[in-house]
Amino acid sequence: MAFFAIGVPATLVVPAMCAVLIYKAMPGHVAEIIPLLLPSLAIAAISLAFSTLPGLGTALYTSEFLQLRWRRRVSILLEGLGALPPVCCAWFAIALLPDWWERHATTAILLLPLAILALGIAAHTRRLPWIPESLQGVLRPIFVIFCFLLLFSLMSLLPSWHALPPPPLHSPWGAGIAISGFLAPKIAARSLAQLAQVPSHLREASLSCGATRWETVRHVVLPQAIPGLTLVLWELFAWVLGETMVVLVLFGASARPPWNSGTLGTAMTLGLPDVQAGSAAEGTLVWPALLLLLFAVLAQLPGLLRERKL
Amino acid sequence: MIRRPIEPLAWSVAGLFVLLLAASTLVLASFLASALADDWPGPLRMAQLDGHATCLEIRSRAPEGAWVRISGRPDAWFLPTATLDASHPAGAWATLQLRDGRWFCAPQLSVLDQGRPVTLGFSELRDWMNSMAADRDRLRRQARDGQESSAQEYRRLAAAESSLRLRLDGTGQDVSFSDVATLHPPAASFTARLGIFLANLHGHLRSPSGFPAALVGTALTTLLAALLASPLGIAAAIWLSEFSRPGLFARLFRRSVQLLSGIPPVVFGAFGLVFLVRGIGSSLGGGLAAPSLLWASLTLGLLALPTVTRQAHLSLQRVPSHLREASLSCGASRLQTLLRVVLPASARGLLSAVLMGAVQALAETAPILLTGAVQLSGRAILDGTFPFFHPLGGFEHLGSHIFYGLEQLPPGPSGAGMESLACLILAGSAMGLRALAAELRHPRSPQ
Repeated sequence: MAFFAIGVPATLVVPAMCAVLIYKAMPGHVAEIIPLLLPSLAIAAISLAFSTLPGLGTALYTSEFLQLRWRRRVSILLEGLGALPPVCCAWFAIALLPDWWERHATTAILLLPLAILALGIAAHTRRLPWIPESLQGVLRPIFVIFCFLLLFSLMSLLPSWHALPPPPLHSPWGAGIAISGFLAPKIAARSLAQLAQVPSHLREASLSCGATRWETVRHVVLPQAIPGLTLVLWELFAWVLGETMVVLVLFGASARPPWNSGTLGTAMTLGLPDVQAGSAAEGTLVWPALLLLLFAVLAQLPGLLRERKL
Repeated sequence: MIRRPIEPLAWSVAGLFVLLLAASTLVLASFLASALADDWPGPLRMAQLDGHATCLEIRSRAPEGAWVRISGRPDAWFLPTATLDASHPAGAWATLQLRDGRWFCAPQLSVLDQGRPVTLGFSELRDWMNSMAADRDRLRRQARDGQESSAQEYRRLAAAESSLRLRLDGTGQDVSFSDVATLHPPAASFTARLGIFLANLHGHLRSPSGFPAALVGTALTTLLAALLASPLGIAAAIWLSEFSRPGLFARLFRRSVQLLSGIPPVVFGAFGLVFLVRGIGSSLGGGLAAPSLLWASLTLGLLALPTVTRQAHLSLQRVPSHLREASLSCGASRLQTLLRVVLPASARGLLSAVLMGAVQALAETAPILLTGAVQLSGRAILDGTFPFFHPLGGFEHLGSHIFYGLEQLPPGPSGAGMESLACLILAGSAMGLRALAAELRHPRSPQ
């Protein structure tokens, strides 16, 4: 038994980490770092705004509408997609996306509601009209692909919207959108776990009372799952506050000192290796770590309170 | 017949589901396409550059017009200021490199024999050139051995060769036959293009760009981090699940693990730098006082530790308690119950926990940028010199390779195939391992 306790001190690194960071931050000046808090919060909020709907929508569809045999496969796929390294997302945003973004982003954003609805109808319609029953299963994916092709061609045919330029990539908007690329599957995978905790007999009772699937989701599943889903979003918000690589890449040289631009994470990554150990400059650059740690603690509090209440 | 109600919100969640999966697939496909496109041979055309004729490879799908690069210089894309010769459509032309390094290409080649053009197929021309080269070598050897007739024959052949010229049909150029160093066939078929692509890729992997070193650095940091985090994390989870008494300490421990797993990775990087490298490393002195692979692995190990502990704890908790009770009631000790019942029953979950920890160590770049990853270390981590493994000093990592590649992103349609390949490997392995971990954690339900 004593042997298994060797892991315990290593895991109780939080107090040690706090103590070290506070000690190291003492000579620093927190006021120099405070301006970076606003861009960090803005980027985290933008990324969450762009990823919450796709993430929650995906989780809801997988959990409540998808056939049972596909549910497990999709949940594994979503977990896999959530592991996309941030630096790869940054690479996609800066090296592969800009041309397309300049030409089509505005049209794509304007077409997005139509795309969501068209693809949703294509994927969700149980029976396609005028098609024999035996071909329904085969034709649905073809119908979805056809919708995609139609939307892509529509995007190319529509004129460029010069009056509405796309949001610049090298800005908090661009960083937020790029971060949402790996945040949305993360939200989906974690929300799926929360939705799985809603007892299935509640769904069955609702369906047997004559409610449709969507009514069951709206009136039974969501009210039960909302506290858990809110916790997921809140914890991911605190985690994404420290996201560094995407911002570092998209902001480029403007994230370098003096710290007028960038986030808490970029200031640490770019500044800490170059400052002298024990100096006031090092103390100043340790403050962002303390602030991020504080946000992580705050993000855990609602969970603790909820657990105690239960 | 019951009519299904129209549910636009249900359609919307279905649409969001399809869009998310499609967007993720497109991101991965773009990595693959970008990695392949850079080395895939494009159409060729001759043009005048700075007063010299040269062969250009063309990518015409850029919005600015046709991006080109000079054959044989695969990294430098540029927008030509000169007008390209449009008398023949660009395509899979035969290319030849002269001894001075210049490249020429043409849709067809013909031999000018005393001003008279003789059009030959590419294979005929190459066979003819090979037979001439073989004759020349044979005569030169014989002349060296003292055969006067062979020497005369060799001189006659060399004179005939120098008077021969190759005409590049459709470009108005001709070059001396004896100046040709290599002759490449037109890459008309898919297999021919694949051959050129693989040769280009091989050239990249052999170049001192740091890519192979980055692969080794990534594998070693991930492996070391997993080796550090797995035993400690699993031991802690076993202690928490099987041996600890419920109370303040166990609760504190569980909260601590939960809190650690929510801390952004860059905080671990800062902790690694200011405490491990500048605190412990500086007090130990020597090579340990600087950021290195050792400290980066240790930092990543700390980052992965809470994930391993949490997931291992969850998988141990999933083992039905009646199994433990049955074992204990049969007279087995708690250790025997653990080794013979609990661990075998949770083996898949524990393996999944280790994989998830490894994925976390693999996917994060910010902590390693703070604790030792550099652009080019100029040294090997593994080599034939004792002690064969050199963990002290800077090292290359796929994440840092991509990051520094982005800082020096060359212009052009792709021009960064190696970074895209690094992305593909990094994203593919992280996502694949994570999916494998999920598969192990959610076993198929029995039919």
